[in-house]
Amino acid sequence: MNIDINAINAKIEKESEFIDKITSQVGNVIVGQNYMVERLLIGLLSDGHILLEGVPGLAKTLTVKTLSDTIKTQFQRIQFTPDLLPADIVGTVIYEQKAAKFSVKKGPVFSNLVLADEINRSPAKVQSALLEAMQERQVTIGDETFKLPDPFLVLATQNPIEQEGTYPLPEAQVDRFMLKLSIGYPDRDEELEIMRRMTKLDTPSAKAVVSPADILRAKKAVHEVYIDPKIENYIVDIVFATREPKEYGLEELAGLIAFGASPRASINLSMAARAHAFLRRRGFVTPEDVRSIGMDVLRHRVIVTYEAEAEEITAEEVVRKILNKIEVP
Amino acid sequence: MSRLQLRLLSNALPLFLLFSTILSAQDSSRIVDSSMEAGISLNCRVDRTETPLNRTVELVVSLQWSGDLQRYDILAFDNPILQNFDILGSGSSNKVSSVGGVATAIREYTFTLKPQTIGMGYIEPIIIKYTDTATDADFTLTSNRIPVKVNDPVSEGETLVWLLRLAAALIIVLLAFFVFRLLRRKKIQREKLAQEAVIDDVSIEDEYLQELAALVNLNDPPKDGAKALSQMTRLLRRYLHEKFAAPGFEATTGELFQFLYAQKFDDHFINEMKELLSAADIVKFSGSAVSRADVEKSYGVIESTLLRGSRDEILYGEQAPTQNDEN
Repeated sequence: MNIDINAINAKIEKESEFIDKITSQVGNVIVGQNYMVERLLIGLLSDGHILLEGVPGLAKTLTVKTLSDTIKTQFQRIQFTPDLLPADIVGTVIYEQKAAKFSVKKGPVFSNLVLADEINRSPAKVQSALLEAMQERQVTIGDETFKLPDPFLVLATQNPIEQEGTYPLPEAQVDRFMLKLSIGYPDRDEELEIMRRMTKLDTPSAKAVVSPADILRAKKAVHEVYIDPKIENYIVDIVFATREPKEYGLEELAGLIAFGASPRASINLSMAARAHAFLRRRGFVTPEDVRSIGMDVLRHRVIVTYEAEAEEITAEEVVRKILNKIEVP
Repeated sequence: MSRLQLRLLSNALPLFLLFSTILSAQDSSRIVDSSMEAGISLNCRVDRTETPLNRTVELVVSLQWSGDLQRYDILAFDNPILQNFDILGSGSSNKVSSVGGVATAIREYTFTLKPQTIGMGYIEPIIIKYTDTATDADFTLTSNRIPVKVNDPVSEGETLVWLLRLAAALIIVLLAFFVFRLLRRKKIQREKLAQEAVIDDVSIEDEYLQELAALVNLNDPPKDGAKALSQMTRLLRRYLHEKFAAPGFEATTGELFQFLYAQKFDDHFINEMKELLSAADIVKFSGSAVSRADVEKSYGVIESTLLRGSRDEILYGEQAPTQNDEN
């Protein structure tokens, strides 16, 4: 079967035109952080929720807010606190005295972009409420079920340094995030530019340049990005290597991995690689796409053993070894 | 003494001497002489009175005395006087024992004698002189003459000779075997070295060129062009890995280019690689068809790369021309 790659490329080229507009607008506000912006777009285009981990002050919230500003969509920010309740997120049924009836009060989750700030500050029941909504893309309030809007993207942040008074996300819940991003510090020049830009009297802002319809068309185009069986096998090899490292010549990792990545990892890696190719205006996935996004898809899905922790070997190191070992097609 | 008695005595004396000589010869294997009058007794004996020419006779001269062992001072004596014998070796030993509570000393001199010719041989009387330190008196001891008959030589034992011959033959055979083995091993080693030298002469580029030719026959192009292109690019990547330690198959095309840039390969080479491998990636991963021209073009690029490599024309690192050089 020969694929008409030129037709796919042409479609991708057309549907991805808005990418430049978004990055340009985001670039007006955010200095650097191209990695984070690109991953946010990947999540947006492939229906994947994103967990951002980084120390405070790295413009995580600002980036998400700016991205939502560039899209004519609804944006909600929920600050997770220990006393937050599930109803504060999904909504509740209230009694209207004037009308003498119960009516549904939808929560902030009914939005296109939801920023769950410091998600690990709320207890498990609140986290579960959000994570179930993320998974099902619908919310039941009272006896009524409501579909969440499309596009729907949850961006959660957590701080890796403060562990006191936090409720770490269980592994099963973390798996529901397509990508887990580790946000780093900007370099010197970027820091200088951030300082100059943010100390001006009129702080820069982004304009809405993309409609939700554009995003929905782009999402459809992402699904049409061709992924060759060789690439699919490559993805499966990577995921299987997290479960059976010995079979892939990674004997040294056998005792370091407690649980490998789930099939959801293969699905997400495939989708994220397609979205990555889409952002490169390419109608087909290459190993570069898989390698580029592999760490973000797998770092929170590989659970290391106590032995690994004792030796201070992180899941990232394990994933890096796997990516560097598996033969590229 | 009357005349008759003197005559009888003169007639009997030679007979007596003759008899005594015969008797002493017959008994010579045991005690030859003894002078009990003195404090020391002398005893001379041979281990045999007849011997073949090719054997030896052992003569033992034994001196024995009792009581105060320090009383006698024995003077040194010369080797025995021999007829038809040569001394092969000699030795002496001292022994002290107690017999009935009386200390007894025995000193023995041993001589090994070799006959000279067939016939009779004689050991002339041995004279021992010593001084009794108690009385300061000197004494002399004399043994009898000991005859020994020397007979025809006996055979030396054929079995031993044969055994010796066999052992010698065995040693020669073993030596020959080891020498043969050593030479053979050296020959094999020489042949191996020669083969290795021949193998070394074949450059890796030659090997890859042969493999490339075996992979794709341009006169009969493969039906599955994508597969052929994929195999050719893998061959190229293997070559780059082996020749320049470029990242192996675990690296993506982009990572390979990063390596080429980092190692400062010449621009012409990098551009060729980029064009070829990027095009191959498109073909491999986009599912599009590959034309015969694409296969031929890729073949040509890989072949020329290998040929340039064999002539060391692929420049990198310090060898690569800089911008200034080009200007």
